Amino acid sequence: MHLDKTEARLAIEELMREYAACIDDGRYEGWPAFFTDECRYLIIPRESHERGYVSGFYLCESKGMLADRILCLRETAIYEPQSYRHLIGGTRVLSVEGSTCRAETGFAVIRTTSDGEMSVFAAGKYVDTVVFDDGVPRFSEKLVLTDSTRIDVLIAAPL
Amino acid sequence: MEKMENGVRSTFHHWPGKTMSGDTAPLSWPAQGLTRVPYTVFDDADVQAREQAKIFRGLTWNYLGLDCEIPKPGDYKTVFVGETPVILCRDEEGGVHAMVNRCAHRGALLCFDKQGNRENFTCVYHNWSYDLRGNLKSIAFKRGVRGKGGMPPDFDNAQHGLERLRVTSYRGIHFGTFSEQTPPIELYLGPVMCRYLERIYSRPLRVLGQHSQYLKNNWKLVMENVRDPYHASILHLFFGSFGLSRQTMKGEALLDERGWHHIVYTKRATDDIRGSEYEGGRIPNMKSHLKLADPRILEEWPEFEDGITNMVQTVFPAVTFQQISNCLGVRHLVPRGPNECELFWTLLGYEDDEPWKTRIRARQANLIGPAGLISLEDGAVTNFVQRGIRGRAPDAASVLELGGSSIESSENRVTEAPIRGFWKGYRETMGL
Repeated sequence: MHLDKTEARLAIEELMREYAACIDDGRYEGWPAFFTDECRYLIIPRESHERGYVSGFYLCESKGMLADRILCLRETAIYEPQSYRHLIGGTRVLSVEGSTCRAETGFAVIRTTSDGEMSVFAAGKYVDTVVFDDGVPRFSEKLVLTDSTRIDVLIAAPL
Repeated sequence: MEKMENGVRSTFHHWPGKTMSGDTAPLSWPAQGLTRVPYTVFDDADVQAREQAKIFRGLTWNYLGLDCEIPKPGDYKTVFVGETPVILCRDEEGGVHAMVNRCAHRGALLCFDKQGNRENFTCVYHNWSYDLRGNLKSIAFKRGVRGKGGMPPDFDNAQHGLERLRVTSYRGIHFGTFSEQTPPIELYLGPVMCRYLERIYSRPLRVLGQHSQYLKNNWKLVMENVRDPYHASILHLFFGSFGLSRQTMKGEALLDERGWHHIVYTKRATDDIRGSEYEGGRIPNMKSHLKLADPRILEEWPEFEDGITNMVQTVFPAVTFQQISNCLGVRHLVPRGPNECELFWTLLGYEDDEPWKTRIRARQANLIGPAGLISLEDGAVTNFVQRGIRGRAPDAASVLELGGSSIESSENRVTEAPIRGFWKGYRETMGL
């Protein structure tokens, strides 16, 4: 499969919109399906990533680990109800090699808690490796690089 | 002036006048002693001012950082002692210094970044420049311009250095104090606390991650929470459900002789739940039917000969050293006003770790921190306390009677002795 940069960008933008809608709608069980079976998902401050640190807030190294995160979110985590609203920026395709693309997409997430309080919870960029399998794009790596090194209280649902 | 709270006269004796200097006691302690904690300590600005004066500027050793954060001459990091901004740095000869991050001229922050390497600290405001020991070396236009203006001829740079802290290092952990009277660190910690720090901090370390968690509650609620073995297998369902920590496992709750510091540890795979409260799902939080799709998140290796799989150690007032399986780290707590605080996490491995060890440590970091599978709840629940104590009766207090009223070490962890120990240190330093 050969993609040109524009085709890749459109496909990844579409993927990002579905991804964000899945989380924002609270359909967390659908979240792992956006990834390949072998994958890496890491939320880490951009500053830490640039320093070469490996530990961030959230690390999943397989689709199973993504599913486990959701299992724990539903079954063992205790926190007040809250929802996210992703504001997804434009996607920049960094490279296209065969059916594998690397791309960056800016984001901001507004968090609304049950008492009605709203805040800009996170801003940053996704640095993604997207693999097209039979024309279906999935993340084989998703780095969520947060602009802030600080998290407000807790991160429950994925970004 | 009697302090009024919600229109009701407080039954605590409030001393006359403002107490912003921290010189006079803003409250007195309930008669029951360490089994009661007046909720006023969690949201009162006068209490906070006194803490800064009596605890953080008092007879305490405060966590500043690790050797591996400032390995080379000129390396520095910024940190806080209570609310005071501090620079920790290494001089040309390898000596470690700490000074208040505040220009001696007009009070501006000298370093407004988190870390770096410098030959000197120069204030951006008026170019007053200090060496790595905090001595004032030069002042812009000290002799004026073309002989006009400038500082008085008798102005002595030596009298205007940065405010310095005394620094001590224990196994590569740097602590600072503002007081000349704070006892040597080994005495401050006591032999038991020293032994458990030696256990982890005797080999060269490497930072694996660094970030912070901003909490909407008083700092002391975090210190209570981290010293509370009672809640671990109750609030943290992940712990109980996946058998990571149960009260039936072997372990201890240890305090130093004064009771100021604590350690709680457990050894996994040492228990038999038959005949205990854990058998047959009688504990509501035990969701033992849950199965992980990829249990590698719990993958570990036996790193320490003593078999301890879970250990949390605090050093009064505000630092925690943790070993959760192979996830090593420091949590340093900084008050941000009476109702908020910031918890700085530093995750660690050893310099000579093979890549697979680093990978396991990074994976286990999922268990802790603001998104931690066994700690996400802590930030929620300490905030529940902060909100729950609003609009209270003036004498309202929390109850700490689990395990009696002592601050003794014990093999069982169904005790609040480590929390009572914190309040003992608190009352002794605060003069309450």
